[in-house]
Amino acid sequence: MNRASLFLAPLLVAATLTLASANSSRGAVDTLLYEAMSAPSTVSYTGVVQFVRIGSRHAEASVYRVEHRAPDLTRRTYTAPSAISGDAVVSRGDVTFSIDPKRRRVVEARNDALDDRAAWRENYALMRQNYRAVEQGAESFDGRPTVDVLLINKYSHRPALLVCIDRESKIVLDQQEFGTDGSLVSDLRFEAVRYTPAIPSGDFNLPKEYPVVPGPTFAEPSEDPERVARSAGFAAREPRSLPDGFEAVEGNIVELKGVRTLHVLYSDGIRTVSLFENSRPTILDMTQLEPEPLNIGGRNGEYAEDGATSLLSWSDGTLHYALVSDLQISDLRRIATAIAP
Amino acid sequence: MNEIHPNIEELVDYMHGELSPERDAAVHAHLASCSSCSQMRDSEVSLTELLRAHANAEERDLPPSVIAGIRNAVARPMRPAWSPLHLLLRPAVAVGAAAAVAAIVYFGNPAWHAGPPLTRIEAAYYFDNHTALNATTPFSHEPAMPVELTSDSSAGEQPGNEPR
Repeated sequence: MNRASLFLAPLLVAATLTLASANSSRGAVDTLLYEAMSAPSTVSYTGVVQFVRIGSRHAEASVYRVEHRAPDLTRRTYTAPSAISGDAVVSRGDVTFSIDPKRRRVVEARNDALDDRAAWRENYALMRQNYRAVEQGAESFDGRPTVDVLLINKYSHRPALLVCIDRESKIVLDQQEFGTDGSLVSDLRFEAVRYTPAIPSGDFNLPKEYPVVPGPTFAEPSEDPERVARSAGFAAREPRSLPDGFEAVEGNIVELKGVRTLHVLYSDGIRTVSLFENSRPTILDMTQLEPEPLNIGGRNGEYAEDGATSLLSWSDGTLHYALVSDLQISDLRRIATAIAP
Repeated sequence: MNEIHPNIEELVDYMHGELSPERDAAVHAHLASCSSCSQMRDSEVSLTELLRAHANAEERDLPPSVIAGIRNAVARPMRPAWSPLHLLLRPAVAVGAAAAVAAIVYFGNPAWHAGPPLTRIEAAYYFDNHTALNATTPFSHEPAMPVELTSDSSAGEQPGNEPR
């Protein structure tokens, strides 16, 4: 062994240990995030949730008591806002029953996407591809020991999500989402939490005196959006460019008021944007949303917000488009311009 | 003398010549010798005459055109009930009729000749489909409040989609 080797050996060992430590750290935070996402399927609990969503012009808030029995039985009973105080939603797997005492009925809805475990894992991998997870250390929330994990966008280096995870149960007790400009977009706080498997089945029963009427049904999407686009029945267009880290993750052909519409979801793992396209003459009714006119690549468009979610619509004379997302209007406008022929 | 008195139905049949020759002869002989049956026959004849007189007083002649139409109809050979449809199937008549119907429908509906009808789609359909597909995004939270409870639309018109 020569002198150079003697000099380099400790450096090599140190580098290896550093990499191992980094990998170990990354593995630990990955385990923590994955456990937090999976916790509701193994942990039963009750508590009170406060949820606030903040848009650029409007904000909306709700408060509800939640009872959850693992793996997939949940009841939410609303106490605010007053318009829906006393109303409740019971969900069993991919089926949701909205109990509406005012109209004395139960509306049954189904979302087959909720069962799509493969999409769930792929979206997690996409999130970890585009976001750096940083453990913030030991904290406390509502008297319980927690650990905070911050997810930072690898391109903008701005935080996108902060999750406060209960050390013992791995349930997320607080979750804050931030916009691309760093502003707070939503906050979900879970308080007065109590972990108990002994939640009576009767708590999830539907009122027998109310008829169950069919509500919306959402089919399981395809994870091959390009194939879905080819089956749309018209020459669908896609954006020539997307925000950093975004890619098409799911697609579907949906019937909106009988109009065959292509729906493609683009995502970077946390933020998402939906693109809807159809070739039939349609009018997008945004009268409840105070829409504003907007120029999109020389074409007239309309923009509106529903809470923190934005809707942008326009037509190129052949196809009719709509973008729906929590992204800011500047981002949506760039995507729209990248679609225009 | 024939002692078997005819009943009223038999007397009426006798008056209208509808009895068998043997019975007709027997009733005729009986009426000649039986005053009570003869009285019954006379009262029945009076009633018949009264009704006929009343019917004649109310009678009106049919208009000549109606009488001529009935005579023509009787003289013409019988045709099936659907025979007028054959007229419509003649090319000259059918093409003309179809053109007239199409013109009435087209010009009677301004939306048709103003271009294809526009379908109005509420924004909620787009928001809800976006939320549904977001279900597998990590840490995606549920909608702030259930759409079904805040929407005024009926259940059957709620946003959603159908599998393709």
